[in-house]
Amino acid sequence: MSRENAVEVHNLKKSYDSLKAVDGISFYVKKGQVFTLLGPNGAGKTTTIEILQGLKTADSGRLKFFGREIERIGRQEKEEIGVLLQRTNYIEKIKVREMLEMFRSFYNKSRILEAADILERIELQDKSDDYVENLSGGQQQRLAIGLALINDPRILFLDEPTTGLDPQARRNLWDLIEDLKAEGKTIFLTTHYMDEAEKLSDYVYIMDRGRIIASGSPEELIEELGQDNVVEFAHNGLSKTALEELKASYPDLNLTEESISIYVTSLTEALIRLTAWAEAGDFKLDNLKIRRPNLEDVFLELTGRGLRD
Amino acid sequence: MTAITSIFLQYIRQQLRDKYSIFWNLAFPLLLLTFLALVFGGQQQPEITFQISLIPRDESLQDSALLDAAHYDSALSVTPQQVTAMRDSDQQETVLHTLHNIALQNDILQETALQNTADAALKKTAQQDDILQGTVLQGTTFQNAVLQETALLNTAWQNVALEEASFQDNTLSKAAQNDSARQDTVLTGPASENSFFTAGEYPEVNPAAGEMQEEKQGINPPASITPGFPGIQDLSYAAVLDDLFIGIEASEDSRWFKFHRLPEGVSAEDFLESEKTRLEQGERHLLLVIPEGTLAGPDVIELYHRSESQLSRIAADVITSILIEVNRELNIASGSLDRSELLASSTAQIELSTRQAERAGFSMAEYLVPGIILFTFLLSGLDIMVSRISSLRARGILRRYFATPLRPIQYFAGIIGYIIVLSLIQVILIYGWSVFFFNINLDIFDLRFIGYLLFGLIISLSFGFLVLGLVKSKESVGIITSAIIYPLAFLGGIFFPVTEIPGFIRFIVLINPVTYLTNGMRDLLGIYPSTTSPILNILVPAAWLVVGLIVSALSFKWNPGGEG
Amino acid sequence: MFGEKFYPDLKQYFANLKILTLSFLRDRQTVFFVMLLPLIFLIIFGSLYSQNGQGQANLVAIYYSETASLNPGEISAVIEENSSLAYQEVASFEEGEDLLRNYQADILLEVGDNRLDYYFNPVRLQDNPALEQQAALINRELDVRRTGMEEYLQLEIRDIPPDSSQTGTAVPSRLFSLFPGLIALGMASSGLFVIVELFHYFRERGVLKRLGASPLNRGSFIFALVSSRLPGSLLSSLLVLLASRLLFGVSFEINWLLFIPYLIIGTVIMMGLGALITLVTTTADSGFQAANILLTVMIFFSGIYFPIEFLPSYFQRASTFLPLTYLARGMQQIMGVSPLETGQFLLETGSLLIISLLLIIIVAKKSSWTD
Repeated sequence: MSRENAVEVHNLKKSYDSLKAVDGISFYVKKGQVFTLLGPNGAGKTTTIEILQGLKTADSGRLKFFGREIERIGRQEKEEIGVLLQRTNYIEKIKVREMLEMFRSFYNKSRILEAADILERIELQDKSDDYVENLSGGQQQRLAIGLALINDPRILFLDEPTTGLDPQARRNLWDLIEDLKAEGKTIFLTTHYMDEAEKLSDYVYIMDRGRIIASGSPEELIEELGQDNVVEFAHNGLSKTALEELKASYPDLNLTEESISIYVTSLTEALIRLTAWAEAGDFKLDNLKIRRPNLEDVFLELTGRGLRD
Repeated sequence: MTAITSIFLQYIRQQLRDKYSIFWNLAFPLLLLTFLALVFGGQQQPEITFQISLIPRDESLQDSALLDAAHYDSALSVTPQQVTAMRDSDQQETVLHTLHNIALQNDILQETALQNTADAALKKTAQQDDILQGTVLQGTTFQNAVLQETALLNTAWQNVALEEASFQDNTLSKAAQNDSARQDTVLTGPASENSFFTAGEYPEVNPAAGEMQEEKQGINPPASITPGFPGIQDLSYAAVLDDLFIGIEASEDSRWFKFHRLPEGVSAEDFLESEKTRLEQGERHLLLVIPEGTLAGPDVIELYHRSESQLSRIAADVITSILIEVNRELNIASGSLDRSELLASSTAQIELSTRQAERAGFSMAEYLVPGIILFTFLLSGLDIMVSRISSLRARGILRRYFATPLRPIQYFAGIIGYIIVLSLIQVILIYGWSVFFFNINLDIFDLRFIGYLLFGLIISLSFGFLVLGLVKSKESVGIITSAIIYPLAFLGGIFFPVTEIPGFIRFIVLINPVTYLTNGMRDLLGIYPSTTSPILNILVPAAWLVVGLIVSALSFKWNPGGEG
Repeated sequence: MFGEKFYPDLKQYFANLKILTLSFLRDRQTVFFVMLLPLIFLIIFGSLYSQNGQGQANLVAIYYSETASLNPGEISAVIEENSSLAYQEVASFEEGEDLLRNYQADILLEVGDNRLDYYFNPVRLQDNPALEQQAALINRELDVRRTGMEEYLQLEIRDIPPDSSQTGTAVPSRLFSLFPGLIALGMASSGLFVIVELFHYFRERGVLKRLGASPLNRGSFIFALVSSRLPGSLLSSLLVLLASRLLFGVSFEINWLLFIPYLIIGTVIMMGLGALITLVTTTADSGFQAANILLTVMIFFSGIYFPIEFLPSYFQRASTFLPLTYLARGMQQIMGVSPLETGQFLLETGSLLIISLLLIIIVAKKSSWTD
């Protein structure tokens, strides 16, 4: 099994003062797949990925990198890693091509890509002579991906790659990641967007408060909920007694700030019951929605909180 | 709260919260003022004393010189106790008086930067001349330091140049010209004794030491020395000079000099060597090797100095000048020259129009205060206002402001209000600081002055808008303002007079509104007559104001580079 | 903390050097503050210090009053023999005054009955002492000529030690020592900010973190960043030298074997000071501001524009704590403005360099590339 794994982590721990940022997590990343660490802000995702990027050292735990047991990600491992940080700033007054060339020089491995190829790949050919600080947000992120690719890495660590991008730029980046996956690259990414995790991942680890609380492919995770549908409606104006009534019928309903969601196996039965309950309590089922469950629901089910609470 | 006050308060808060702005806007001008006032104003007691070593060419001479002092002709003889009495007496012919002539009338001492605190006697003398003469002495201007040094060196060089080039019949210069080494240095060159004696007219003078007594009796007076002054040729130079230096030590000017004499039991040769080392190490400024001969014939006095040390050069200059005067006095004393034969001369300054010419003198701090105030205005208008606006502009905040019903006039009223309050605080700080530390006496509350001050602030603001109108990017704005402020300030006479700057730089001085503003401000305070006419002092800055307003009205953009 | 990463890697060094140099030189602020601003000050102060030092003769306007007893030939002969003086006769006192007022003449001489009265323009405070000295010289020489005075004491002025530097020029020393000072200032502006930039600014912007995630050899990056400032120092020094020659006609006998290494050493010394600032500040903004303030203070107290000799002694003592004082002095010695005092020079430069390197190493050890 370990032969197929790019990275294996056992009982990894990292604390800052009294805060246990990573509290004994274990996981593995299979070669050629996209692995996602999903969780809300402060769950420990970035600490975990930064340990794997070689930026931080774990307090304890075992780490295997392509089958070799190592203490930490060192220089040798970095030759094989592509990195996208949550935020990348550049040295000012440097042109796009020069930045790529500079990063090329950092790697000593024999297989290293040409700046021109990268430029084409990230579609910045016509920006190659622009100063990096003059690129738009999406272009800067593409350049950051380009820098991650320059050493033709065996594994890419992408920390929240689409945070702060507009929908179009996000979609472009997703396409790029899917292309990379198709090329057989191993990709490890963190995100707090469930749609991103669902769309891109082969395997998802859900992380909360320093621990991994669930794992599996997105489909598996959703299936484990054991529910076919989610019924959701706004709860403004709902009386306490009415809520207690509803809870009696659906003990595992989820109450978020604006809405109530109920997982149901039989949709028709649930709808009849709900309308009856609403009519009795003179309550409008405003904004009533019926949808398939997603990873957000999984997280909500597991923690009682939303991903972005 | 109106929009104007809220914008105004916003800027005030920003100012108060940023400790670096507080430094640059409030503390820096005070530091600058203090620094310049100290450097050029000499508010401190000077701690510089010329360390001068007096070295006999032969130690045996020292005793004999002192002994000789008892036999001086009264006209030349002075003891320390007599000095005070003599100062105001009629004994015009004394060598000592020569020294005082030199100290009081000759410019050598006055020229030195040390003069900033020259003693009261010097000041009084000078103040009698003219207001501006008084200014020189109190060290009110840049001249007293840096530029003055230039002048001084220039003079020193010209001295030598003159001696070399024009005093063809002078034995000294002949000696100098004979020695090619001399041409290598500005001031000096080791003119050898040999060249002197070959060119000299008095071969009978034997320079060898130790035969002093014999010589005194055996030498005939040179033909040119008339016997009208009996006994003079018996005097040794050593005695005359000793007298001179004792006189200096007893005089009011004594603190400028510390003379080091041959200690007992040390040979003159060893003393010379050790003093040379001290000179190299900077412990001495000048060495004088006193000749052994008598006034019966000319002799050579050697001055050792270190040309790279400024104080050493000044010391050499001062002593040179004193010795030249001594020569003249000796001529008079010997009877070969009558004082009436000398040309009478005076120096004076021509009249220039100044409004408050009755003011007698001013201190460096008083000279600087209007300049520093103007400098802070330049900072406010060109740096603070411009950087505040351009930073908001570059980040699109200004555009956001004007997406509200806020009117441009309200915004500008707010920020200009802030600049005015800041300027007011600056003026009060500068004034209070200099009253407290420099004891200045300026009537800055004069209404005309306040009006002109406001005029200056407006000019500076208009310069700011000019820059904002012409330069779009935030980065360039910062650079351009620095590139403008410094030449405007330094070439506007804010810190020191710039009327004499040569070449194309002069053009900048002439078109610089700051030149006229500083002139106008100082003129209004009556501390320095304007070198430009009062009309120009209004017109030139006003012309810049008009240009600034027109250009910025035409080209100012809220959102340069962006649309709309 | 650097482990094997600290030993430089040449390939990376040169790649980094290229990028960082470009980044430095492309920045308009750099170009301005390291090169143009010193040039502006060079022109301003150079002009100030060379006023009247350029060999152009001072003009004496001579007005012979009705009672004049000296004949024109006597006076003109004296003036003609003085290469720094020229004369022009004027028909009336008022005409002379006008010339004086308009800076067309420097001295107005009124010749009377066995007397000479000299008049000056009161505004020209900085020149008048020299001009009055000239007047005194004219007087003295006329006296000598007219009376046949004896030269009793003959002055011989000797210099210790023999001055081997500039020769035969009448350029004031202030002007001469301005240029080495400006070159030292160039080193200061290009060196002072770099450590703050590296360990505060780059860290704050996450540049260090991104670099830290690559197998980059940190030693080569630090060395590259340090060396990337040398072209700045070099360019600014060449600019100063060029300007000194073209604009002011001043040239130096530079000891090039020392000059180039000293540029490097001096820049590194200023980086050491920057390292000290980095240690005592926490953010890039405060670091840059502190560096700015320190640079301004050093400009005043290191004797570059203003002679420290004229400062009260406690300020002079303060200046001994400023490295720029030593750099300016060292540069003066290397450029032949003052004689090279080898022992002291080596001692000062050596200890400053060692302290600076230590400071840089301490900062490098203390700073994190991964925060």
